[in-house]
Amino acid sequence: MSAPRRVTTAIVAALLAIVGAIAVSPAASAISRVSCSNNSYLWIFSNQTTCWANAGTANVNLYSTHGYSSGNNAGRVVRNAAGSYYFSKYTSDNWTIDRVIQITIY
Amino acid sequence: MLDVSRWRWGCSGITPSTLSVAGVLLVTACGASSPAPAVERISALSQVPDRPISRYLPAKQQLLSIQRQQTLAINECLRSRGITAKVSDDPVSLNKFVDILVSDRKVRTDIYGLFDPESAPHYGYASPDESARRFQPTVPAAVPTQQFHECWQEAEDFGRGLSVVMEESGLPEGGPESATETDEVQAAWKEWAECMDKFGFAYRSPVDALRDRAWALDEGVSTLEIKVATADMSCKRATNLVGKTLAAQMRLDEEYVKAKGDELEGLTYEWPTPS
Repeated sequence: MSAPRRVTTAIVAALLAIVGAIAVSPAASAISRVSCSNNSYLWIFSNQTTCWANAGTANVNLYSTHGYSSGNNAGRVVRNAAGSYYFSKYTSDNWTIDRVIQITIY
Repeated sequence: MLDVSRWRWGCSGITPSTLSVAGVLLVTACGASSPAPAVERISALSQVPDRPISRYLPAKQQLLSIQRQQTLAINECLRSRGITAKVSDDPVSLNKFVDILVSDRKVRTDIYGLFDPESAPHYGYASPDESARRFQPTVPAAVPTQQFHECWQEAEDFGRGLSVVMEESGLPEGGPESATETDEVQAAWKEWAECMDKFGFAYRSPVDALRDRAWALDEGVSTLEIKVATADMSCKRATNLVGKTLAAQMRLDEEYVKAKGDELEGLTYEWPTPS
């Protein structure tokens, strides 16, 4: 099992309390927003970069994003204007400013 | 042939000569974990062996089939909503994407980072065709975005976790424990880091070098990335990092396979049949 998937619920809950509320509605999953403290997480770059760990799907509203770095996660990101794509581990991309509306980590 | 002189785990005080007298029963009696596979010297990608879990991971054709079935399910969902336009997958792009997914099982890992001595001096930590490491289904303009998302989610739920990008996550309990925290891997990383330091690069682990965010933010591949990746490959060869870390991971893989054998044998990666 990869390291970020071993983030405990307690740690995630504490981190969420620190970073504040975000529009996330997990769909029966354990995907979590985490502190951007580790390059193994999925990073979604913007002027308020967010990071994600654990398997699952989250519906989000991440404005003004311009790219990602997948860390050791394979998954799927959905952007409002450009649609969805799947990414493999250890990939990254830069894109034209867009809103990310859904994130899935497998 | 089994080389017992390379067994580094098990009961302290047991030497190869002891084993030659007492045999394998002694190892069993002392309750030691599985003996580690021999540490092989690995200096080329072609020398990287399959892991014990490799045969339980979805094969290329199974991943292609999963994507095909998921797209069919999305289109069936759209049709049920009165939308006749269809989502499709460009076969060339999909094929390339899946090829890379499968080859990355040896090229990019959580224990030794990137290992591609042929590619690194030219492409750094990227692939020769980096854009092929992402795959985007074709969604016609006639398919409303919201309807596509809902139908994708419906297909995703129906597939019960099957996905074209699934890897170890599809195995029982998410696959074997990673060897990253073992003494063997930590020692191998330390030796590698000391080598990298001689080149002027400070990384705690080869995985940190691979996922350095500087590479993500660069447009294209920078000269620095090439230099780091080239030094990385030299240090991996000099310290046999790949051989050492793989031996540790294979031990955990074998323990996992032993514990989950029946479940693993039952894996089919077949898309569920609609009722």
